[in-house]
Amino acid sequence: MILTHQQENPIGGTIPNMPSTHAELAKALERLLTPEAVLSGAAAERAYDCDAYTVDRSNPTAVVLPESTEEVAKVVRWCCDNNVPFTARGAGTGLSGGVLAALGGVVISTKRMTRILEIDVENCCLLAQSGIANKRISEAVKQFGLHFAPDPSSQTVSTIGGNIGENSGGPHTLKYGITVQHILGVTLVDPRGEILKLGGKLAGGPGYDFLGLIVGGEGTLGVVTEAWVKLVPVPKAVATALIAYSTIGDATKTVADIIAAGTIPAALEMMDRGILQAVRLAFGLQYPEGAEALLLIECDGEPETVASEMEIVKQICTRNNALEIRVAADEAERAKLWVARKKGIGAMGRIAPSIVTHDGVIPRSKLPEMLEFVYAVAKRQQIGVANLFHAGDGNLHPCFYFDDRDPDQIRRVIEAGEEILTRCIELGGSVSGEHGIGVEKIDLMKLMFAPEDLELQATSKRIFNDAMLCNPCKVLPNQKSCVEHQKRWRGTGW
Amino acid sequence: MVNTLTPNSIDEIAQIVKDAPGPVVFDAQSAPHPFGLPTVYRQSRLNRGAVTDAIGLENFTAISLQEYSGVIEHDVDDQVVVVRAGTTVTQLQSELAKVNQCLPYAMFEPRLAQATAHFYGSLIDEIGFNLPHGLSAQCGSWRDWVLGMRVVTADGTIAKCGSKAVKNVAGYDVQKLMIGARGTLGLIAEVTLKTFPLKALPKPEMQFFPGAEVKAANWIQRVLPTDFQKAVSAHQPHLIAVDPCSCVLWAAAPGNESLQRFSEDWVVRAGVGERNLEFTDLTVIKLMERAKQLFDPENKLNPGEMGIC
Ligand SMILES: Cc1cc2nc3c(=O)[nH]c(=O)nc-3n(C[C@H](O)[C@H](O)[C@H](O)COP(=O)(O)OP(=O)(O)OC[C@H]3O[C@@H](n4cnc5c(N)ncnc54)[C@H](O)[C@@H]3O)c2cc1C
Repeated sequence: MILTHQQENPIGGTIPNMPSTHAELAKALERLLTPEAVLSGAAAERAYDCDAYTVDRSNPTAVVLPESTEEVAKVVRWCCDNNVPFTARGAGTGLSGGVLAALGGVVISTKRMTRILEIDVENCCLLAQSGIANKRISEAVKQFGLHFAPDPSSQTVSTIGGNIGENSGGPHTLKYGITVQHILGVTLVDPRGEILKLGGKLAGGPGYDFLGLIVGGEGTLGVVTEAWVKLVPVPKAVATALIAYSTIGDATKTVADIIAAGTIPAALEMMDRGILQAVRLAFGLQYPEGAEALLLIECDGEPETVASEMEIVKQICTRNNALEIRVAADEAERAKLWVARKKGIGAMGRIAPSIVTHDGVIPRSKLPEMLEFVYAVAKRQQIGVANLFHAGDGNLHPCFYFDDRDPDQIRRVIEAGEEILTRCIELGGSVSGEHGIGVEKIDLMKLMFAPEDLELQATSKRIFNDAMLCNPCKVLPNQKSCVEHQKRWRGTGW
Repeated sequence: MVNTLTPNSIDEIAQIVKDAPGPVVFDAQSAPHPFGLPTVYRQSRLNRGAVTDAIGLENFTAISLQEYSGVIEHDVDDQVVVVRAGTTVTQLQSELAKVNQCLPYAMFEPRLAQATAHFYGSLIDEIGFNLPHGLSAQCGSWRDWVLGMRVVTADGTIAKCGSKAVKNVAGYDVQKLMIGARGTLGLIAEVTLKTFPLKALPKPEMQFFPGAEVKAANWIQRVLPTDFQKAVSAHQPHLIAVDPCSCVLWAAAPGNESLQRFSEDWVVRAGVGERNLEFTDLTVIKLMERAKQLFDPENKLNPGEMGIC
């Protein structure tokens, strides 16, 4: 089979010694690394054709499993010399198609780059290879009373490289910030194959903030091979409460009042009736009769502060007509209170053939209005919807459930998603709070940003990447050679 | 002599940049920032406008945003404020205080502002220089508070970056590049900031040393926690203030003296000319030059202000 990018050579010119078949390309990579470090063939292509956003797919030509920065650099340089596109891949749990090998080419998997290289307990930082699972970092430093704060729900598998790529958040983002606030430095193999070290144990020095650009760069600015991450003390005490309300309005009012009181809980999550029903059906959990919304609130820190914060929270909840306030007495109860939040989407998956989870942001005060809108859209499009979201920062995740064997349902789901995200923009929000743009939301970028805004972003991208080889067709619309491909992915996805 | 232009709309700012035949410099409202570099423009100004070099002062267009100030929009419930970049920090803080909000920035020891190099200058300067402050460990800094911006680029285009949402990962974070760039990549005209409830503000743990009221820092250094005590002892006679939380030291080094350096630390300085800002890492210098070349190919915006080009 002929590589597509050979015909549509984005850079122009002819490439000598261009490997012309998948097998040849894989052979060349095997010679570059070792045969064990290269996967190719139909099975590999299928296994690596998408991430957790399965709507769009595209086959890579080969997959490499390097073990060091130098090996990654070798592969990238080889790709540049041979005009082959390449895409970094962590655990592949991304939700916007960031790891899709959009124009084919080499997927650089960090699966074998999982080593911790240095732990500096006194200076509260750690250096690890980028393929390490987020959770493993925290486990490695638990004995010192420290942890890595960003906690995407995928943290047992998602990698630090992927977290950096997407600038991921998690339920505790409200208080502790997102990934970018916890990355002190990186080793980056830039899109030309040069090894750059940016930042280190101490962040915040003078100069342009390139690190701030790379985090959230969705793998388009190079391959991160190592990262210095910040470690923070594990909170001494945690108090968790699950509060039920008979109206969505009371729940959102509680959220606003808590924030205005100057209390910043570690987590402030909300779930609606759709999620409650799913969890009830899937796990047999019971919630108070008439509950339309649940808030999960967690306070952490020094024991006295936690106690006083929780007291304030409870007062605010009561004032806003809470039906019931359950406070966890111990760790087991705490885990139970988290079930609806952590397993809500999974529960949805159990009761419907297919689900699609969206990610949009609105100013917090617009939550009630936005929810009304989401329900209205779902009703009009005749699809089921349930909502769970990071209420504290206005990041909503409407989850549609439907039957993907019915093309008309698929169409309606896609339309509903676009309507909702468009509304987020109209309300002064964003089309993504944590899942990124990838290929999924590339068309929505034009709704959120004017051409001159996008041009400024393109200029920033060009600092690192001025060709079409490093993770092409992501984030920015109107990239050469991508539009045709996009149609094709959409066609094969379902 | 240079005429400092004082536009009062973003369109006017853009027009000035577009029409400028030569370099455009952002003139601080009062004195030039002491931590700035001795750019050609500054040097010429110091010489009372005498044309002392090839570029010539008359070719410069100087802009001050003093007429472009004030709050554009404040969503009190959402704790988000949109403000013109000519607004001073003092002005903004007093606006925010009316509804019991604030920026957790250099607001506690007004009499020590000089000491720690916070001049309560306009946002364009404070964000441009991005110097450490006494609550950075507890509350973060500009890169954490700036949610979005409107900037005027080197060709006079008005472009937006970021959004008003407190959480947003759509697209490249251009606003982060503008922070600390001293106006060399674009002119920050409007800023969208996250605000804090006043009552949630932690107490800064900064310690001040004798004479802090009258001294002015010319040495700001951040060291690793493991070196902090060593640095405090080493700099003792010159210290003005320290923040044990972020391990930042503010000192008044006599003359052009360089104080002791520590592994992985970084320093910004005042009063030592080109050495106010020194980059030693060649890859970083190369990247910075590349960024400047892309954002401002004619080296028009605040030339020389980052020590590159
Ligand atoms: C069940 C589930 C729950 C989730 N919960 C959350 C959540 O709470 N919060 C949240 O923010 N996200 C969440 N996600 C989304 C996803 O887990 C995150 O985006 C995560 O950070 C991706 O990590 P990964 O290792 O799987 O990256 P991948 O999916 O492999 O890659 C993601 C992006 O990063 C790039 N990338 C990967 N490795 C590197 C590298 N070494 N260098 C440069 N770029 C790289 C890729 O090119 C791609 O663009 C969830 C996903 C699932 C399936």
